[in-house]
Amino acid sequence: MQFLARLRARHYVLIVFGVLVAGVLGLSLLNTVENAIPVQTFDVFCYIGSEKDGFLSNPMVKEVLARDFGINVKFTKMGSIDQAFLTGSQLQDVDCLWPSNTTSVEIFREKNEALYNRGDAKHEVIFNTPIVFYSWTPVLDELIAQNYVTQNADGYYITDTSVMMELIVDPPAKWAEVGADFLNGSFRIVTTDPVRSNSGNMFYGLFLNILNGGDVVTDANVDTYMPVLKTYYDQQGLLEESSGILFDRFITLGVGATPLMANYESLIIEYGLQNQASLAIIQDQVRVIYPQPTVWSSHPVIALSDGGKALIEALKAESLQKLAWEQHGFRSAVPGITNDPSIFDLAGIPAQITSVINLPNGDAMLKMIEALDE
Amino acid sequence: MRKWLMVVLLGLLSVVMVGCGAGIVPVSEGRTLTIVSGSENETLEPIIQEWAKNNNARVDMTYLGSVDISRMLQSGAVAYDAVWPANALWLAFGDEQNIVQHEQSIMRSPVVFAVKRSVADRLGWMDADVTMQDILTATESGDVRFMMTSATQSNSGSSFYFAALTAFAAQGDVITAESLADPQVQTLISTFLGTVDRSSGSSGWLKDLFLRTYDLYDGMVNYESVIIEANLALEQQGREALYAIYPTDGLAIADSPLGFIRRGNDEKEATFLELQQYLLGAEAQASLLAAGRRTGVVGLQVDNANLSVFRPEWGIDLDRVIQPIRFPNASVIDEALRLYQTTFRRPSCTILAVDRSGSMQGEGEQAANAGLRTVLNQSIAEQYLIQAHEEDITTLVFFNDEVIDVRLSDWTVKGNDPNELSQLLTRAESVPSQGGTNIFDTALLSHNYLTQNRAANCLPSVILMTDGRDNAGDYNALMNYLNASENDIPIFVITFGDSNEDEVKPIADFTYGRVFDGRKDLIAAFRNARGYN
Repeated sequence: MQFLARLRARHYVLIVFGVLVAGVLGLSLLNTVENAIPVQTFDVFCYIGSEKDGFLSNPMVKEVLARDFGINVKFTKMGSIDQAFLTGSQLQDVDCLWPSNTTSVEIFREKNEALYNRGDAKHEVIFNTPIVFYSWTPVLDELIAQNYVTQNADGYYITDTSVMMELIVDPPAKWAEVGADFLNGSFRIVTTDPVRSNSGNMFYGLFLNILNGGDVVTDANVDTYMPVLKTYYDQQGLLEESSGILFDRFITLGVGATPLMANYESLIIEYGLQNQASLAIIQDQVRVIYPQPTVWSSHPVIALSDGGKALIEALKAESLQKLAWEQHGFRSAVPGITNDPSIFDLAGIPAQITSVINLPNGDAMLKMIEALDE
Repeated sequence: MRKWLMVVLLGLLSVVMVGCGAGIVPVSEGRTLTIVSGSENETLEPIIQEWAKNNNARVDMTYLGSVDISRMLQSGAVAYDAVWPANALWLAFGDEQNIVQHEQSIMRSPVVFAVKRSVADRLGWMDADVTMQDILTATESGDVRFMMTSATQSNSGSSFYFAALTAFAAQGDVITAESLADPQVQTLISTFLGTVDRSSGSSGWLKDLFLRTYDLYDGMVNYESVIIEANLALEQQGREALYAIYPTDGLAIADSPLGFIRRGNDEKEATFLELQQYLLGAEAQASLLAAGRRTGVVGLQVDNANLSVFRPEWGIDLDRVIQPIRFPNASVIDEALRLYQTTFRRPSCTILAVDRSGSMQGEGEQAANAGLRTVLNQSIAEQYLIQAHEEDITTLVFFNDEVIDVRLSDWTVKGNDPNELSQLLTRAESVPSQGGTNIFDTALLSHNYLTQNRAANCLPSVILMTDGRDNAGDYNALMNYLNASENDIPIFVITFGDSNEDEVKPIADFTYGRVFDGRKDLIAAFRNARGYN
């Protein structure tokens, strides 16, 4: 106080000013350090399926893209099917599309053949994730007891897809008939809305193939199986439109709400990493079942500019493929890169997915969507 | 020079103070959130305001029924930054244009049927599996007098309605358009809804009403969390607690999704995510758990549940595997809500008493007529799911110094014929506004008319709208009359203009009605009051 009292007003004012200036400078310096990126970057704008949001927003991914490749990805989320139908001026200033299936690429290519012929467009699959079934221990125990599910030598759970699909074909089995007598009503495999969301759409594509005796359905025979599919779809009621939200609801509402669900494998890996606190309960109660065969959800990047093409090359780098697997559960689609499940605190994830069937072709899938939506 | 320097410095200082979040200066737009929420969250507002205070943010909460929130989303015109309905169903059903982002469930609570412990004991419902049919048998025989909110106005009522439909029609599967048209299902659901003794448009208000009318009712349909809140209050009053029943064949869970409406304000979005993360964080989740909400991350389990909150002797059962119903697709939901309103619910006998004193001339009269139009014009009423039932009885009364036309039967429409109701509206629009205000004698006459003329199966109520203070009626006569009556007809009052809430609140309170403030939006007040019946 004495020190302050001795100062003349002008000095006091100057000291306050000095502190302010130092503070402001200090703050701006801090900001600069935080945002510092040592290389020049260029922006690449993409439409992406929402499941890649976590990956592209991951600070480590952003850093590798910027540091090693000079790329700064900007994106807007858009459903895969909506991306497939973009054309002409809608593609202006768009460097890439990143849907969650190859059907979208097929549809897109058909509508935009000129872009491909000119060499402006190219695509490459970056990641894969299989459609798997999720369940809870009390249900799984019954499914195992009734031989619907088995645990293989490597410790993960498998099921014959055709046997499971038989249970849902009208008239569907009751839960009690598969041993889960603590559940009311019909056996069902909950999915997202196949008309509006990719994971549900793929499950219905797989369903079509199984109805076709395990052979891939084409636009020539898809109509044969639509009545069965449509009946099942109509029995499901209101369906979620987002795979991520469906997964969250599966976890929060428990075994009664969703005894069995079809969704992306990657979701449980991403969830486990982001929810370490509840991992022990998840590990204890949630089970992943691998249907044989299953379908791949592929994540192809469609590059529409040099920036998009540079992004494809960057995403194939081992560093980014490793981050994609270890932090987001996406399996590598790049030859030579392996995925090691032992790094996770989750049991029951196989190193390789061996039994996979192709989805019906693009026209067949479009016919399916139209018929379901009627 | 020195003055100039001081001005600059003061300016700089104030900038720095904003940055420090001293809370002295107004909060920026990016730190302001408006949230429209279901009424069941009203008791949680202190948790949110505490966060706002500590984080230099401002949160304005508005409470509406979840169904209203859903309708708002359908229209695409949402004048709020965030939505927080009771159930994700209302987002899936309403958000056709995909405007809701970052949706996350904050907490869970099943919708239960709760009765006084002694009633549960008498019915053999304690620690037993109870089906929807068991509940129907008990309510139909008159063993249980209970309250439930309107299925078209409030999520708890809607949840239980769909749960009952599922139990009666689908046995664990999804109801369809065919099940709604099945005569056997129609009979069961109409019988059950016919036993509802009191309705309302809000779950929170229903709980308060139950506590006020404790001796008149045996139970209510509400969220498990609201039953816990009610029981904590009953315990303080030294009264018998409610016992929660989880019907084994029909139950829905409120999962309280909080979502953001993106309009390109990045700072606002960041503020929203901050609040959402706070609500999902350990500290807030512990507060929500203490308030009877299920907050466990996995499968409705409650980690570290405080058994003095989730009390087994209240029937609260955390170990039960709850299999919530699956809701039907959007068109079946639409049809089910329409049928609830026009056919399945218990019909209502309603008197709408409307002020035509001199002060209502002009804007007031126009607004009151617009309010009447919302209720009586069936195509407008349908938009708000307040359309009339085929057995509703609707009577209009107009008053100034006195009741303008006491022949109330001339102003009555039985049923829901759109033409008859719109003719009634046309006649109403020609009644001029002039003279004084007689609230009390109008209320007495309306109440007395309903007492004499109500149908046995209807839920009776008087909705009285006024813009002024009584200057002609006899308050004591009204209160003496009400005191001597059975007092089973609520009087709802819509206030407007100069009306004095202190004057009408005792009437609403005494009859277990409610005052709706129509000063901001008279049409909405008419709609809300109608939704309570």
